[in-house]
Amino acid sequence: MALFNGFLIVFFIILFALLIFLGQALRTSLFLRRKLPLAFCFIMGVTMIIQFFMPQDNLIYKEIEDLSVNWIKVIQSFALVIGLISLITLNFNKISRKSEDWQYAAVLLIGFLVTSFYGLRDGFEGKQFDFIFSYMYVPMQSTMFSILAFFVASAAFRAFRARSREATLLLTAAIIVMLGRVELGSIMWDKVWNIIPDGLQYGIGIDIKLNHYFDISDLAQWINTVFTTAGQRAILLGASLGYIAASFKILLGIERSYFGSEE
Amino acid sequence: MNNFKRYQGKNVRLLIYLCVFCALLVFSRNAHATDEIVASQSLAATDGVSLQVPASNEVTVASASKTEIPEELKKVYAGKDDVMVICSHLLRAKDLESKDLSTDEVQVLVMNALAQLPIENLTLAQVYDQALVLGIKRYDTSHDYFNPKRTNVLIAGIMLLSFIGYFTYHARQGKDMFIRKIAGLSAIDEAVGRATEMGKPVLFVPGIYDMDDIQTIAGVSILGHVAKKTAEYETNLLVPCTRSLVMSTSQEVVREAYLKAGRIDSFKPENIRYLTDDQFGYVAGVDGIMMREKPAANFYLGVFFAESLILAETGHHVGAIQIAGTAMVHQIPFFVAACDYTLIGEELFAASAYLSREPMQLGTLKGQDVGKFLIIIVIALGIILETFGVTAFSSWFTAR
Repeated sequence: MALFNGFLIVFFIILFALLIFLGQALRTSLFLRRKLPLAFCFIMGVTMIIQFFMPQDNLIYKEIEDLSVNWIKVIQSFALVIGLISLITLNFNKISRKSEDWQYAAVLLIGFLVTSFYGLRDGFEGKQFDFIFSYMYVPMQSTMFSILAFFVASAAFRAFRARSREATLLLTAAIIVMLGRVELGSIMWDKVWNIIPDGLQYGIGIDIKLNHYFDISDLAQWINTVFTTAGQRAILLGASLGYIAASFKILLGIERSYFGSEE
Repeated sequence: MNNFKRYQGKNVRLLIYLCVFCALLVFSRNAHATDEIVASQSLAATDGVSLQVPASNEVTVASASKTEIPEELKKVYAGKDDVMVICSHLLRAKDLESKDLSTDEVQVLVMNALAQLPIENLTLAQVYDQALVLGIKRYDTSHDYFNPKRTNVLIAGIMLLSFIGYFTYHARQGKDMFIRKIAGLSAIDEAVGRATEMGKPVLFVPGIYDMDDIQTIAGVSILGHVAKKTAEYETNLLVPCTRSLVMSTSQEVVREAYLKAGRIDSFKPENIRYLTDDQFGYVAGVDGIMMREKPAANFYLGVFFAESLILAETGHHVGAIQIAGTAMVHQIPFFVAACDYTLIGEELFAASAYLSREPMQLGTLKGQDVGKFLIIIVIALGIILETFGVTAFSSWFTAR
């Protein structure tokens, strides 16, 4: 066992040395910096397109799927280490230099270390880890999410000011949808109908009251399913075409700006 | 232009290599599959078993007969009404689920099963079992390399790529391509200029998805342009990231932009930082940065969910000029309400072409527009035909 561990340590030292060497080569070699990633991008992109057109029970389909899922997991695990190194280094430097608001960095690092310690020691089922998750993480997350309600109100207040014809239209639609979504809206709608004299509540030649056809919740539903859906689908169609065109540009290397340079 | 030609040539070569590789793979698989069938047939012949069904089918048939029969099917077959009951169970059957069969196709299977079975004392379970066996045999695609149900997607994709290829070729020939003004992209320089005048930093949020999403890539492309401007104006650029890979890519993009602008000494890698993978933890972090640093210009370009309005409203409260862009249809209204400029859907993907003005990129935009025009015609035609009761046309466009 000790021999195996020794081999493992040597293996990781060689691996890290190779990675450092590769990192240096990446900075200098044009082939490794530009052409190799482009070739990888093209080959993997075309492979995934071919996979899309294969039947789902084809053996190659399954092999490609398993392979890509495993590779994504491996890459994400390595990438997380990069992120964590950045996070720790940055906050540690902030504390050591006593930069402005360094106390926040200290809280972050302490939180990170304590959670990691209990998580690694006891796993997800550990009592302390569970306490941190249930009584600190979840309430903080809920707090952030609940802020959204207040922001919706303040954004709606600004957006719905009737300054132009379009804004007035938006305001009217918003009022109908808002009233249609709450019980109060239906009660108010019935009250308004009751004010109208009985004779006017019937359509010409119809025995049923008009409010049977025009309920505010139905009207709100109609605005959502017809106007909103139509607008959303138009945006989706354009965006989907944009997706395909952008993918095509990336696959063929026409779009290279995400490498950092156009050349 | 020479560079484009050089890259184009290399891409064509790469495409040929890949095609050869795929062809070899397909042939090797085919040969392997044929060998298996021949071997199983010869084995079956020595055992005195029928050679009509390949061994692979026999295995699946055996597994199908072992499938547990639902309780509802344990009664005697009474007539046509029971066909729909069997169909509904078949559509949910584990062995047929991946085949993505339509109700009509399943109905045919049930009718065939009924034709093969003796009608006396016939239970629904027997019909179900027989139809399942028939379905597995008929729709066995484990040795096929193309899913015919996706022919529509293939044709549409080829057509769109042809348009893009055609206009890209014309752009390479030097044909002038018109691109309409996009207010949100034209305002980038104005926003960075404002931040410079106020002596405050610029905040760039590349969304909450990883580099595997095209929207994030589009956002990072715009980051390159923003970084170039901040380098020229010597303004601080803050890029908090929610994914490590996005952070690495952003660092590289910003470093290159500063290098190009000749201001590499002003580049601060610590300004492009990783916060957390958690959605609301990230929002809290970015909001904190906004409240402390008070940026004069905020950019939100990428994939956003519930955090869109929280970020945009906080940005509004600190008095920043805000430019947002996303293809997430449910978040666009929030950005429109809270930001000064919004790139809606496809405008985000057009940003790279708009900012770089590269002829080949503009060519792809033109091809995309022709594709959109074609879709409009198809939709109009579909509406007319559906109104007159012709459903075959619209059903051809069903995605599977």
